[in-house]
Amino acid sequence: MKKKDLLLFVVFAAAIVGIQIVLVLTHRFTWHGLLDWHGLAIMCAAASTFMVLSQLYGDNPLFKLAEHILLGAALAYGMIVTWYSMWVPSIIDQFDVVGKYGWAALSHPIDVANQANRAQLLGLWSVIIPIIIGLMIYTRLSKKHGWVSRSPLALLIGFGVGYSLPQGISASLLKQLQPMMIDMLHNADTGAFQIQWDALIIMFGVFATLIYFFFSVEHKGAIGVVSRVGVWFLMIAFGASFGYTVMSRLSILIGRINFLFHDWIPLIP
Amino acid sequence: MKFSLDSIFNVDRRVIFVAVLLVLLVPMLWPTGMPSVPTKNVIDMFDRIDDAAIHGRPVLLSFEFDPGGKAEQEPMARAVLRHLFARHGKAVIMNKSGGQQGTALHYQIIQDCAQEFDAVEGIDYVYLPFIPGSTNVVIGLGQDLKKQYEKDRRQIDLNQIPLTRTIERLQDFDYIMIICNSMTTVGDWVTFGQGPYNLTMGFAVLGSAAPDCYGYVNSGQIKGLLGGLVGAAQYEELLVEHGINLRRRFSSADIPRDKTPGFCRELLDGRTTPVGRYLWGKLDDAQRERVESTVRWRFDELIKDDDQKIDDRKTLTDALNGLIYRGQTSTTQPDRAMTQPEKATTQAAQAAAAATQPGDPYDLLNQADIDRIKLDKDAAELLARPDIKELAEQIRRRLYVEHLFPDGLAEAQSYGMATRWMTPQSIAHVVLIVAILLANATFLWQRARKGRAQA
Repeated sequence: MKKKDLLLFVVFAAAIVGIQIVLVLTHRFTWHGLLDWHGLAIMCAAASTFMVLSQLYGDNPLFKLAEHILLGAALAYGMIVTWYSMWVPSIIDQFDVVGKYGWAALSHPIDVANQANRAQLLGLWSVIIPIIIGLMIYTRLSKKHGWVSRSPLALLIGFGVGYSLPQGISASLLKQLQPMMIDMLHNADTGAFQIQWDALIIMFGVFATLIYFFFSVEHKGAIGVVSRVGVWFLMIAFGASFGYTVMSRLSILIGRINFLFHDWIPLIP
Repeated sequence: MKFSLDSIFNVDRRVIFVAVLLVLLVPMLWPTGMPSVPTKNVIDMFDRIDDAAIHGRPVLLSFEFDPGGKAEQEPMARAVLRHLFARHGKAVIMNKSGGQQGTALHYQIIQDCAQEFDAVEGIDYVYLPFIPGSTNVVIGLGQDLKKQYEKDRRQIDLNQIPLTRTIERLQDFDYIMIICNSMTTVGDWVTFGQGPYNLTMGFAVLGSAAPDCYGYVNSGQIKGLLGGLVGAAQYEELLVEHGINLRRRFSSADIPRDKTPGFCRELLDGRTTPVGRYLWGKLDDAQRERVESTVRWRFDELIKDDDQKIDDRKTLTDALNGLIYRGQTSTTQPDRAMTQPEKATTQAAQAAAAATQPGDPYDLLNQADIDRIKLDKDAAELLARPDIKELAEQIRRRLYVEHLFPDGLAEAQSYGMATRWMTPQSIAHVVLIVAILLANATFLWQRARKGRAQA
């Protein structure tokens, strides 16, 4: 570590701790006891926020440190959550029946599953078989036995494509087309003559955009005009998407400002 | 100094960052109310959740956001939970891929809202822990919920929990609301949940994902959409419009955290809550003395049996509400099995009620003061109506207490965090629009000048 970087860390830490001390002494921040974990967490979160925002000024060691802490903490937290919410209940706890019923858990799995009140089709084998299939994927690490991993991958892809294809076509294509396949000249509720402008615009937008992506015909004349309108529809969609994205990013910044100047330094009422 | 387009586009980015910070910070420091008008999609979601809650039908909330989406999605989660808990609705809250990093955040939000409205885990809500996977989880939930989740967060079998005992699969939910931050999640739920099982579901997504959801809204696959902070603010607006925030009386939220049971003592020195300020600031000496003795007696009664491990926060809430309602608690529903803390709480509330019978010297509220409340003509006519005559006194007591606790109840009636944050966001939008228009105008002006020079 460079001497300059070390100095930066020390100055930054001193500044954060200094602000914290001032806040506590001026009764703007309540510190419970000598080691207040809640207060410490808020202080660390504020320091992390400043470290990340320091990237706006330019690349610096504080930002890099925050980046590494975030990655490490997120990974570790994710692993712990997955361990306790997936591995323990779905795999490790399932082997309890071996201790309780002995080999019968493997030789008479369905009977044991019923006795243990577990809703498993094949008893303990419902756990063991997926584990074996999952472990087979790791044979990719070996050049000699790598071919074994193709079977579980083929199984996954086969199931995934087979299951999602009809559902995907139904949800993302057929049902999306439905709003354009209505009577656009009459009110659906009353049956009276009433032009459905929304539906008309959507239908024309879809038509024009599809024409724009239809490259088998040269975009000249009427086709050119319609494809140009299709571009306009695309631009409007991109604009709406960009507008929402700006709004979303501003919200995140507002959240951080609120944390810094409300939760930590109580300036915002 | 010569002005040119380049000088606008070459402004140091740090200047822009500081400008954005100021544009957002200033309206936050001096907040002003900025109303938001709920759109059809938000109203649709609100109505469906309201209907399910009123009829006691379960709602599935899938929290699939992480701290990265906290600013936008925490207000959404809070608004919906407050809505459900205020209506005594039933919520099953789950968490799958996308929400892995947010597990602690989710539970903190749930706990806060549950405490605010005294919702009880297992009866009013159940939290199902994080489960990896997305597509497979949705498919699994559609087939058998209890194969995906055998136990809740507390490791209690779902078959033993009253709320989840009768729920078998996704179709058993009246409404499904997913708070997520990616379109992949939306696609999974719509494709593998809504499509095959014809479910009624709505989404609360980040602003950046909202435009992509409109296709599903238009096709009727999604019923209800909250897009970004604006969506959350509109939902909060509906909560206020429907008086749901007003339903909150004194609640656990009024009691400072980490203060119970020490709160009982601090209540008496008048430094902490609106209640304390009321006790020491609003009454004359004689009343103060009576109040002090009564409060001391009441709280001694309430906390004397530590072995029962009474939830002090809930007990205090009920006791405070007892001041208004003479011990009648609407938080406890008679048609359900009560847990041990609830039984203890009910007993405590009944004790408080017994102490506040008319003419009781321990009644904290002076009847003569209540009678002096001046009602306008419409309100007086309303209270004189035969069908609500029995409630008239209760309403008068409430009015009196609301008058005495303007600060505390102002907080209770306030909008949520999304509405507060809408003002800086709206101002930033206006500034951005002006900046974009200026840049475009400058660009056109400069191009015209170049054209003239070339000519």
